Amino acid sequence: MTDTASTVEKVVRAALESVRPDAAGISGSTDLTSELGLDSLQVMDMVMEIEDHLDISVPAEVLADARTLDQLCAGIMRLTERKSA
Amino acid sequence: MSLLDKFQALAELKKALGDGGQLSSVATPMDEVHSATSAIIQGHKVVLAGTNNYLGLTFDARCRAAAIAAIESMGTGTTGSRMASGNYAGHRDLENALAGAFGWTAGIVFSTGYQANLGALSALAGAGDTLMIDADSHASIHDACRLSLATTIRFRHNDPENLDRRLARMGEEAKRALVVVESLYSTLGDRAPLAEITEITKRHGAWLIVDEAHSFGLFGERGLGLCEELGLLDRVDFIVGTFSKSLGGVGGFCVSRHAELELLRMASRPYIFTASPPPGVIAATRCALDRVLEGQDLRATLWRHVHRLYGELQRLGYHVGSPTPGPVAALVFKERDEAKAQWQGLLDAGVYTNLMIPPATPIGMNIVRISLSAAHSDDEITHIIGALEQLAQNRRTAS
Repeated sequence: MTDTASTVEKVVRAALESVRPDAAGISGSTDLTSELGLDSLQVMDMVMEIEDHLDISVPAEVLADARTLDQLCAGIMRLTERKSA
Repeated sequence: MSLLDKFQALAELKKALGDGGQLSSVATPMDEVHSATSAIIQGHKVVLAGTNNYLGLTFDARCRAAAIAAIESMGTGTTGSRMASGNYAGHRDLENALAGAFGWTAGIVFSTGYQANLGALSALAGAGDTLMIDADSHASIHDACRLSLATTIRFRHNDPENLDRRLARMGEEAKRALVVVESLYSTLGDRAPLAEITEITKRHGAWLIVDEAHSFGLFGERGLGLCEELGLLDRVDFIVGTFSKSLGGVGGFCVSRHAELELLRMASRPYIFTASPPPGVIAATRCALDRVLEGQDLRATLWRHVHRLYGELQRLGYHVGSPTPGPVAALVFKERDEAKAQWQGLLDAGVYTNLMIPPATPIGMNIVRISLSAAHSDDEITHIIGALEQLAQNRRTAS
């Protein structure tokens, strides 16, 4: 895992735990809505935490494509790479 | 899992909200409607304190007469799109009157308020553009984003600084961003900080559209909404609104100082691929618009009721969603059962309100929404306050 990927995962996990403290240590393949039970407002709060930490804006389309923690991290990674390109 | 299994959770929620022999708090059937503020529910007369009939114009004598005359002369429906056989003189007249009221040149009428947002936003912002929306936007705005090919970015609810950061990240691309806000959010009754949002939007070279659905008719000298009241009409790019609240009909509109709005007629799918509003609705709305523009008397009555209710809610210790008095008073409860008991208690006392629960509201916010009308009499407001007082006393006794 690259430094950027590691940073992104840490930020995403911290944001997730800020809205769902019981989600600490969940697997990256966990489905955030059907398995973890996040509702749309919790997802939004989590994403706003991520945006503020990484100084990026996450389009709603990226969220629609990300069902699991790993997929969300991958989507955020692409955004941070685009920003630094 | 089969096709219909996903509805099981909704079936359970429906049961919890009232099913079978119990009156449902969702889609409560009204057997008869006698006036803008009075109806019969399950055989009992109730005061309507949960509609969007802010000026009471559904029963205005002139509006009703105009609707009846239009039906008599032009029929009950148009059976066609505005781009085909459903383009009547009345539609154009209403569009010109709406745009003219704002001092602008361009106006488009849509068949519903929902379609006004859907049709305006999805056509204004396309591929390569950005829709920058408040996170607590109405479903019609979120759905417009899904229909549009634009990138959608949300900023924190009513947070100008958060919007500023997101627009700053866009740099020059902010010139292709359309900022979308509502002037008055109907769930909690809170208002957008429009002056700050307008300043930030314009500083970044972005565009601004304001949804005045719940403020048109109620704010400003001529009732044009909060942008008029705050003196922002020369800086806002587009305003959308609805006919189904203060205007007492059904339909929606978008007006602009940019003549290019006219071209949306050829680009907006929710405008093109639906039947136009029927003549009776257009005639009543045209009449209601005149009543709004000259409606300082109605606004004065409504605001007198609003200040009285808010003062009483504070005295009775209710937690209200917005501290600023407005046409919507959202009573907030932590528990769903508590809110449902309040809603049922009010109905039993002859006061109809709205129950709103998550996911329609944020988690932990179960809301009994009270909305007032200029058509309420002082006695009806007294009745509503009396019911609220009794329930507050009951809660104190129980605890």
